[in-house]
Amino acid sequence: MGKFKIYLISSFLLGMILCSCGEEDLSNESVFNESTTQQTDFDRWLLSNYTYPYNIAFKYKMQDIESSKSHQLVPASPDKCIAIAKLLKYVWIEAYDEVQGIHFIRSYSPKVIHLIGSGGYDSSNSTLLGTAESGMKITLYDVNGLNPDDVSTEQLQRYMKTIFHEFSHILHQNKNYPPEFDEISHSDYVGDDWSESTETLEIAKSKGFVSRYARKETNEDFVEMIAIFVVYGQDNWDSLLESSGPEGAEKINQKFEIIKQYLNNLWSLDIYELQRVFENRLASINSLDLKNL
Amino acid sequence: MRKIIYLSLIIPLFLMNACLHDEKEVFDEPASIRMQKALSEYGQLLASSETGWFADYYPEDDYGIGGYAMFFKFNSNGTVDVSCEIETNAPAMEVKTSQWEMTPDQGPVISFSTYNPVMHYFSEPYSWDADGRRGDYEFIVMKAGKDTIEMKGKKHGNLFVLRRNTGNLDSKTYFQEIAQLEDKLSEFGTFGFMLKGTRIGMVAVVDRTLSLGYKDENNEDQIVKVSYTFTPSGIRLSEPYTFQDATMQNFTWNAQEEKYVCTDPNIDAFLDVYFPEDYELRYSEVLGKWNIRYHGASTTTWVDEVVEITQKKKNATYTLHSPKLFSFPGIELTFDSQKGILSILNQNAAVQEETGYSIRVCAYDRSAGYLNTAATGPVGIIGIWNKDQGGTRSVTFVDNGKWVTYKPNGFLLRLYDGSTNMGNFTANVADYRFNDITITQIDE
Repeated sequence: MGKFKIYLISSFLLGMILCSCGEEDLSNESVFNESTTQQTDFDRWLLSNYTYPYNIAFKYKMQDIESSKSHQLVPASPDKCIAIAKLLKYVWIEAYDEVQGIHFIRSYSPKVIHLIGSGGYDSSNSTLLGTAESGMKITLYDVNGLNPDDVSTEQLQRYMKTIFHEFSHILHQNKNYPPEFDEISHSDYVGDDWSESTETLEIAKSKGFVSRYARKETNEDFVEMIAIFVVYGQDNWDSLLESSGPEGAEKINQKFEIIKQYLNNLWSLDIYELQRVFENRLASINSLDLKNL
Repeated sequence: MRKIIYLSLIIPLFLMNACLHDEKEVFDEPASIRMQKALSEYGQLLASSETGWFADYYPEDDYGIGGYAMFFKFNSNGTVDVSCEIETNAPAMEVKTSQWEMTPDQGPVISFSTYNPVMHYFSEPYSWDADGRRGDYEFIVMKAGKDTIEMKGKKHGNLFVLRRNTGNLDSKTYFQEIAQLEDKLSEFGTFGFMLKGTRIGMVAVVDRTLSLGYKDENNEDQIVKVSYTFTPSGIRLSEPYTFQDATMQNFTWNAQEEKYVCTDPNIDAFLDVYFPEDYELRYSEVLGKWNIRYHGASTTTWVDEVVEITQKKKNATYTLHSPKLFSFPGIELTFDSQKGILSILNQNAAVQEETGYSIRVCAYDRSAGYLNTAATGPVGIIGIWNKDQGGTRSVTFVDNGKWVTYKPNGFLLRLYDGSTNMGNFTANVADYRFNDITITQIDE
């Protein structure tokens, strides 16, 4: 190293030392502002039923910056949100509580649930019903489509499928599933073409997928299987296998075996138990008062 | 070598400069505090109007489909009452309540944060139309005065101006007046634009948008589009519009002279109703009782009867009623608003109650003995106006030329079950055939 370099470096250092001469006190004011609006009864209910016990922020008011930029959306109606909040707690959160204990949802639940009134529609004819972001947030769309006066099982299953779908993403984002899962259907994933009208459910099933959307990619396949197995129950699963043809059914069974082992070994979760508990709860939602807090 | 040493001693001096700046605070308070203050200030301002605010609301990018009058009452408990002049996801003029809040975003933003069937109608997406009407419900406050708050839509960028209801107007009355005015004005589709006594060009009106066509200084054709919202007395443009040196935004409708007069200070401008030279009848002139004369069962004996023409869709269609001629509510007349001309086109006029069959108006060439079986136009007969010669107004219907192979001089009524011909309609009182029709207006 030549002297030149040493001089140069030391002069820079000197300069930097002399430079760092500004002093600034940190402000003791928080830059995060609390919203100025008044709390409603529903806000208080959410605090004591979601935020305090499960550390979940339940956002039912629309925040455009929190939602998909690429979709035109509208906020949810509070009376629908009350119904959704009660249904979610009963058939999703408390089902896991019952099977895994309260700490499971506390630890792994998304920290934010955000409700959107409309579905997210785009030009590819697909409808966005839910998204999950890195285990942090679940956004549910089309909440205004729920009728609290007459919640049909089909309607509820649609929402719950979204929830179980998104929550299962959180599970595999925390602990990945074995790579063998991907190998079984590797060549049959079609990306965004899954929603093409030519890619029918029949084709999907014959290739070993439980839904058209499962053909999008491996992660979606993985969570679709869990969601459909739990939410739609054993009878539906059996007839799904039956109508998938021998080849399709075999692939579904192979993938399901991996899922079962994965949940058992990594999460100590018995998927059959979860299915049974969910089914019981779904059958008794009529006992819930969805219109009052 | 020595040079290098000197040089290296000089370098720090340059670097030292970097900290000799003198930083002056432009604002007394940190940004977050100022934002917080702005939010609560604007929030209080919005809630301060006991009589609420009126606004011209423009959905669509670039004000594409015109504006709608809305009424807002912001309450300090976080709720907002919203109503609109037109039917949304709530009936027209009905008040719906939801929540609002001020949030920090790209500046202070007012958000309609829970679903409101009136407000969010303009933003609602559909599976068949992913963007819906492209309306905003989050607005960045640009400029706030005591009686006017100017905001800009966050997603689509249209201006949103709240005007304090200083006159304590009843919002329903305000909307009803607008509806009456719009109904009157829907008859006029074309206006001339006069500025300081000079006729600048023509203005076509579609979807609450004025399209001004004029020649510029190089004699080239120009078209400018400006959207507007109705007010109880006229129209207000979405933004002030400047032509030459005149800036215009507010116009009042003068019913006597049939023109919009600009009411902005020191501006001499108006838009007057214009009908082209070959324009025949005004929509409103056709309404009322007429005598109909035609050949029915016989081609040598005239039948005379009184009929009534009423509004169906303003400026577009009428219903021609006559309990003596038709046992059903009537047949549709089509009005060409560009030319002021009446037509009777092929149509399914009604459903026969007993059978559920459609009663179809079929253009009929009686001398050739052929009828046209299409369920809708363009085949039919067109009205020729007598220009009120002899002091009476009459219209004679002839072939409109759309059938090419035959020349209908009237129509007959047939029954159809879907596309299957079930024979002639015979339940009418007179005949099922109407040829060589002339209608003459009855003075009342």
